[in-house]
Amino acid sequence: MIDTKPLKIEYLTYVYRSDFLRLKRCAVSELSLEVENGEIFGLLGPNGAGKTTTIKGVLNLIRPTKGRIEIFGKNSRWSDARQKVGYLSEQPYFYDYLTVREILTMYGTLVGLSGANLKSEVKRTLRLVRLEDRIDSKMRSLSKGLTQRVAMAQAILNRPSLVILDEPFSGLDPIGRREFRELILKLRDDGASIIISTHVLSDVELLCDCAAILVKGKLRGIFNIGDLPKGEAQSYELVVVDQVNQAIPKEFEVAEEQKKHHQLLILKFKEEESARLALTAAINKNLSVVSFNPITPSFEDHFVKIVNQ
Amino acid sequence: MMKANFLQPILALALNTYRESVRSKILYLAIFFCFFLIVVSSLFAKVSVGDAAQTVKDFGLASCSIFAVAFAVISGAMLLNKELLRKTIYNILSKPVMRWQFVFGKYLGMLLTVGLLILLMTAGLYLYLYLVFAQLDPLIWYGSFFIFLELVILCAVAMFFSALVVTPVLSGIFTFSIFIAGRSVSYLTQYFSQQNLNEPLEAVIQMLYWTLPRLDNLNLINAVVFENFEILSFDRFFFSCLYAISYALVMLMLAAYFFKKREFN
Repeated sequence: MIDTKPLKIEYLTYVYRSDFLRLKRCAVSELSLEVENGEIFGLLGPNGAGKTTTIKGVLNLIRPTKGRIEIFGKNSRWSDARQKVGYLSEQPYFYDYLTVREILTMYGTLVGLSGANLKSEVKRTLRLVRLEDRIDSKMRSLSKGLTQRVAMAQAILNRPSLVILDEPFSGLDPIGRREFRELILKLRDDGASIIISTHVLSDVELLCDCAAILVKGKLRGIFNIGDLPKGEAQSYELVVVDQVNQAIPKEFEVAEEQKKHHQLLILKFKEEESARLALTAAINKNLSVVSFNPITPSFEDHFVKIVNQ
Repeated sequence: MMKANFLQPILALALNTYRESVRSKILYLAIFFCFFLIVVSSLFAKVSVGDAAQTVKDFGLASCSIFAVAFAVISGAMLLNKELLRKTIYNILSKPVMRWQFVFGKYLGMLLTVGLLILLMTAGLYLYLYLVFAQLDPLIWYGSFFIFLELVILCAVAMFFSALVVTPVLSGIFTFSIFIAGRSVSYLTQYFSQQNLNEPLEAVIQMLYWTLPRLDNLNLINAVVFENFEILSFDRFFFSCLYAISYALVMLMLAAYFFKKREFN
């Protein structure tokens, strides 16, 4: 039976020689992972972890030293394998002498679109990335955020079943980020599998079903985002309104950390009991309590812990 | 989902390369300097012995050749390098495009531009000869076609070095050296045949003789200017076309082979 997983990487290793001293360096080592149909898969890791190298291996831009990559069951070295793939590169560059229409027409032709179909797909994609009004703008006149939208448009022009996005939110304003997140979810709902390589963990938490963490070219693990242990509270945070003439209860003195932010006093307690005593004291002294929360490990905390292991 | 036929990506890339050149200033600078030289040649014609129109034709076709070659060497050397520097190649090769299609597309675009350049320069020369000397000489077009045939080879050589060598300067120097050597093959072989060479050196000269492009055979400027119809035969035309296309194809296949081995880190 043919394996039709959108992406299957087996023991991918990539060794290259450095520019000057020609020393051997291993960018990715024995990496194996699979992306399921309709999944949003995060590729995480600090700088130099091998995320972009892995993506380049998938797209046949580099030749893996060892290992095998399959896209929908086809060896990624065949150009055919990329027929259903869309790719948004990190810091995308485009021919600045072309207009948005010309750029998309060219990329559309490369993926086999032509005639009226090509025209309608260009228009559809520009609507999706909200760039219809810039169709005849020269690329050199576009801002970084708008260029990023063109990059997304060319990536999804062929209605790909596997979309690879390398730092897709780079250069986008908050509205743009939200629109891109909605677009990514829409692509998933339409049946595409999506790989996102990013440093922005909040986006991964919001979008991804699971994520692989790479550190120095090695896979540290693949995690289902929803299954990450919330864990016990590591500390407790009490926030009260800082009233100038009010005496501070002595229970506040045991706080591990105290800081003032605008008109708020933020207290951090290590022990639950001392935190509760401080809360009771605050209520008894008629202080305005804004919030009282246990602090559980965030996704970022998990990430840092895994990276530092 | 539609699948591109093998020609579709080549034509799309050729059109893009053509657009890039047509929208750049280098092309227009080349045309301007060519016209400038044609006009200057009139001044030489006035002080030279012989037919003034012939001098202008000679100067004009030579300028046409020089500027077309300069354009091919410079833009050919930059062609792949610019794609790498600007990282535009990542988006192209992430599509279902084969590396050889990329090489052939770039080459075709370059050839289209060079063709346009030669066409415009020849048209300028033709018009100038008509306006100043009241001559309509169709042989000029024949001469410029042979300049184009030279460029068919030279652009392929430029692609080959562009795919093989990383730095554009080196690639340009190699291409220009091949042009000079190709134009001088017959002189070089004549010179070396008169020397007493040892066997290994003789073998190297023989190898160069068979591998260097015979651009000297495609340089018909003198034959056109002096209307030497023995040289301007149909046989010459047919075999020159065949030779240029074959040589270019071999160079492009080698370029595609080396380009396929390249990695884009």
